[in-house]
Amino acid sequence: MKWYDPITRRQVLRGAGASLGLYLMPSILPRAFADESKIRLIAAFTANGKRGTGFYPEVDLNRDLGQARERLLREINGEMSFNLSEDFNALKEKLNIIENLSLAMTNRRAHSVNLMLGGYREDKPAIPNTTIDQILAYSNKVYTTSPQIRSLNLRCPGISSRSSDEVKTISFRKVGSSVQRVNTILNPKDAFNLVFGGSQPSTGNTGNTQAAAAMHANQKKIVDQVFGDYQSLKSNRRISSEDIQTLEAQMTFLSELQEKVNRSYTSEPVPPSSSCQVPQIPEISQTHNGSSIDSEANLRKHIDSQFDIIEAAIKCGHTRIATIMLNAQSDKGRYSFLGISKGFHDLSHTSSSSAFRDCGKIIRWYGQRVARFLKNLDQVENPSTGETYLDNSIFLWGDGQANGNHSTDNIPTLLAGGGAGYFKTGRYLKYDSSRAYNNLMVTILDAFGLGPQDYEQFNLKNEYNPDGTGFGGYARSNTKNRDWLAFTPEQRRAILPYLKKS
Amino acid sequence: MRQIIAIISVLAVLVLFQNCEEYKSQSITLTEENSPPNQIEAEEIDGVLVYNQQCMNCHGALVSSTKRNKSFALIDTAILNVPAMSGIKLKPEEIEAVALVLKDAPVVGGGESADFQCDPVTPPSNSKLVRLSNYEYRSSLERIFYRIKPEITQFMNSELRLPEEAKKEGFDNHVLNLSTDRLEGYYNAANGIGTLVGSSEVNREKVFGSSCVNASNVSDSCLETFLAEFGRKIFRRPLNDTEIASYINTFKMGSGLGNDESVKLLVQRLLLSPNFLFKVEVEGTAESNNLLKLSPYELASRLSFALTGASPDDMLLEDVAENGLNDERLLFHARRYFNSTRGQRHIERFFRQWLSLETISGLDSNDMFPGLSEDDAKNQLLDEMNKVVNNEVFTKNSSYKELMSTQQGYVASDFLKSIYKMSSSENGFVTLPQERKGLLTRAAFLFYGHDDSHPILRGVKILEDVLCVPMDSPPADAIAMRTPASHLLSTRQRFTEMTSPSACIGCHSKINPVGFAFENFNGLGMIRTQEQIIDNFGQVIATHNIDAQTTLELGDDTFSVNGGSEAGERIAVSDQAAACFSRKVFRGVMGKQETQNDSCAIGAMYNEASDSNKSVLSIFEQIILSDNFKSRAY
Repeated sequence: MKWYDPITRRQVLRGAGASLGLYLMPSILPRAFADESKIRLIAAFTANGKRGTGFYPEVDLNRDLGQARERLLREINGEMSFNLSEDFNALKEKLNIIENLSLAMTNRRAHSVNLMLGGYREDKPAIPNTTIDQILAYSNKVYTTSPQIRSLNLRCPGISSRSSDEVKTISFRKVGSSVQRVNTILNPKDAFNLVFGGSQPSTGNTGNTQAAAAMHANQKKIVDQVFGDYQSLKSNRRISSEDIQTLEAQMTFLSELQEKVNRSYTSEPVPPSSSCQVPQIPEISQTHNGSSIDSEANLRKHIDSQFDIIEAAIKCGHTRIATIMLNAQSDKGRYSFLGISKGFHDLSHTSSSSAFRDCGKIIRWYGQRVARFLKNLDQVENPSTGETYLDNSIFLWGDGQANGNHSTDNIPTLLAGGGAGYFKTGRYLKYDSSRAYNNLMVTILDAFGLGPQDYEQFNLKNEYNPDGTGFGGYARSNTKNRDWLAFTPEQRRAILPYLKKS
Repeated sequence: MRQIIAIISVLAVLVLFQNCEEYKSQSITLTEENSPPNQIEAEEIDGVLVYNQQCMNCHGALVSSTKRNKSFALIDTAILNVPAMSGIKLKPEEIEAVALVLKDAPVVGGGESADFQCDPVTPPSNSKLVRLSNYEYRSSLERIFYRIKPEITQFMNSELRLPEEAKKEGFDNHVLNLSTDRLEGYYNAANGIGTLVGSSEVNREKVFGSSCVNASNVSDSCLETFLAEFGRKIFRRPLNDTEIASYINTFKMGSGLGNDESVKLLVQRLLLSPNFLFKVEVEGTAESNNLLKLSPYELASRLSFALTGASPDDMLLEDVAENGLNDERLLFHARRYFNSTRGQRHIERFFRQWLSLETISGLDSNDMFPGLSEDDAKNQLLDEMNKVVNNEVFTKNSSYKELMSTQQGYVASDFLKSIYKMSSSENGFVTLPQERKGLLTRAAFLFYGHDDSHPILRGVKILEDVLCVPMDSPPADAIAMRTPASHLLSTRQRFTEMTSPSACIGCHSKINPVGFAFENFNGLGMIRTQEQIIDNFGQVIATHNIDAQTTLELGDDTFSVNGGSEAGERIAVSDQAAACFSRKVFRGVMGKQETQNDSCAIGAMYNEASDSNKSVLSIFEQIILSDNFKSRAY
């Protein structure tokens, strides 16, 4: 069967991407990438903003860098801030707390899940945008060969919160002229199955192996036959040209499916590296499908399980890109286990010292889950250099807004990890004047070796390239200083100063 | 030869551009004679640009503008006299340019007008090839595999993973995207269901309806019989001989691996076929170019998805096989579906989507209702609305206006009794007080999970959902533009103050009056006569009497109303609301936005909706019997 492979469509798709695994497909044992020191991106989202007074260290910034001031985190005794509890103390040398990053677009919508990795808001982006995790996931500079999982996108249910109508992803992928939400996996068992397969491959039984091979071959044939069914329908003379485009889109996705089916069934298992340990299959008491959890223990277990799977997927080389939503888009849950009776979202809109404190408690609790993950990731990857997995990663803890007032000015940002030697770390860095949050995105892409040609949707004349896979809200705004088109291309392309090692 | 080609090329280019004048005519060219004094060069005014900058926020995008065909004089008069337009400063030539583009703007449907210009010769609007929505996919699988319903239901609840549907105007069958994730979801579902059916002799026999599938050597006749019956359920039409032969071949791919593998492969391929996943309509009779009268099976498929959200049931398929599907039979099956549980759940669902109830909030705090979970609160609110709609539409056969002004409520929980202030002895259907006339005063419609009444959100919801007034998103700097207001003011006073800048008042002159009419309900949907302002320490710092007196603009008329009940009733009996409801039924049933080409069908529905003697169901019947429903333009 010759596969349908229109060049232009595939070119478009090459730059975009999403990863939802074939849950039911058998998987293979972990295998390592040829170069284990390659950089990774892991992004964790919490909702409703982080009140600056709880997030930033209350210390003097004692070093003037010219356009920013900084303080070394090791100079701070004890915990760094109310949000960043003592659980982060052991990680001080690995962090960057960044103050004064603002979205270069006006605030149109309250809880934007696309802000964190896209620098734009979903409701009305002037131009469709792909978030940077998806740019990286589908970049052949990041993956020179087809990875097992381009990006691992997980989420958690939140505590007693309704989330059925909220956006359940922070990853977006431009396909054609539309932006699609990248599906996320809620149930840790599904995530486990995606990364490690539902069962281990059989060994030693020739009969079973032959049967398995025949079944695998049948799966390839089935996808072939289905493809033929689409071709047959497409050739019907009563199918309009617009409908043909619909069918061709589905056929392109079928081609991608076939690649996955083939890869899944033909890959040779490679012995895992010593650091790669398959975690226990998560035992989650509830099957979550948009529902919520009602106890601290279950919520913690769920989050930790998802983080464990990301950790193992990174260490085993199954993926280099991962995202996780730790709570819902505008988490309305009541964290009674923290002694809080009002909903988080409600609290985030309340201007009182008690509400500030309660919001801080919730962020602090999530911070503890983040710190646990980071410490687990901070294990030696390269014994000869002592570099840890965290040293070779970029971890971003972000949000859909700056604080509970839906502002996108001064978005509290925590970076962890050295980005394989790219970042200076161990600092609280405050820019003197507001910097565009998009420049943080550019910085991360730069750390991966991606340049404007890899992600920009505009040329130097601000002409839009519809095939571009760029990110960022390059929209004209009523407020001049927030107008991306008012930025010169050089300003849009700039990395944030004082972060990169010289 | 090359010269001839060159000449032909030049001529072709000239022909291509010969109509460009039409486009130019939409702009006014200022020559030196009529241009402003310090304008040296001629300048073109882009009417589209002016419209987008000055008019679009309130009147919608040009293609769906509510002000089509407004003349220069009307626009000029409106700017001079309508307070909300006082901030607009346009030169005469700019007004003229806007009038021109409004005249030439293509019509793509929408809008608030009840004036449906029916031209019987006009073909219906185009229908695209669309996939099943998630809801339709699940419902169809339940219906197709009803013989193993418990297992299928369990599978779908625990294993089925499909990307969520995007919603448009509350409906989940309008934006039907495709994606890798979705296709993989289908693949895994087909794999799982195939395994579920194939791996058990009992399941195989149930689904095949015969034990022949468990023979050591399954005969072709066994497979042909199965594909004739089961294939028709999945494809919603009989399979042809070529297809049957091809699927038998698929079954035989599993030879040597056991019947479980063969059955799995067969089911898997059927469930991945575009003939199952998409609503394919290609077999009808050609009536003209690109216009098909649907085949009886295709019409049956449309009917079932429209009225049950699932593929056709066995009775309909059998009837089509024996008798075709004329109007009489179509109506018979429509009414049969109306009487079915699945059909009634589907119509209830239409009302939930139409009124955007599926996205209502739960409780933000359980201080007032200790022990009540957020999901329980939401479910109880929706349950009441379902019960009321069901009783009015199916039991009482009410008209649209009766439904929209019903005083009936349904209380089955302490939570709802508290909201409605009913005694604990009241249970089930109850007659609510005068202040609760109409669906728009039901708790589910008014609920935001906390005390705040959200008049702006309520206003926008009613304008968009009930009156079909297109509302654009607020401008990017809306929050920055609003006037600061004291927190000691009442909600109404505060929003009046905040939305007073000229940049805001254009839209808010429409939104605020509608929302303020419901100020006698708090954000939990409870009736209130006073509003207390409470500080962060729980202390009452101000008290205001509720002012829900307002003026509604409906069509060309204005009405003074006091409170949500009066407003809801006035809206309910308005032509504008009846026209809007007709549009919404069309959109919900057809899964697409209407265009001018659908005016005959919607006009007929509107006649039913505006007639107090015609039932809500008759509105649905009108669309079912329309040519728009029975044919497909492509």
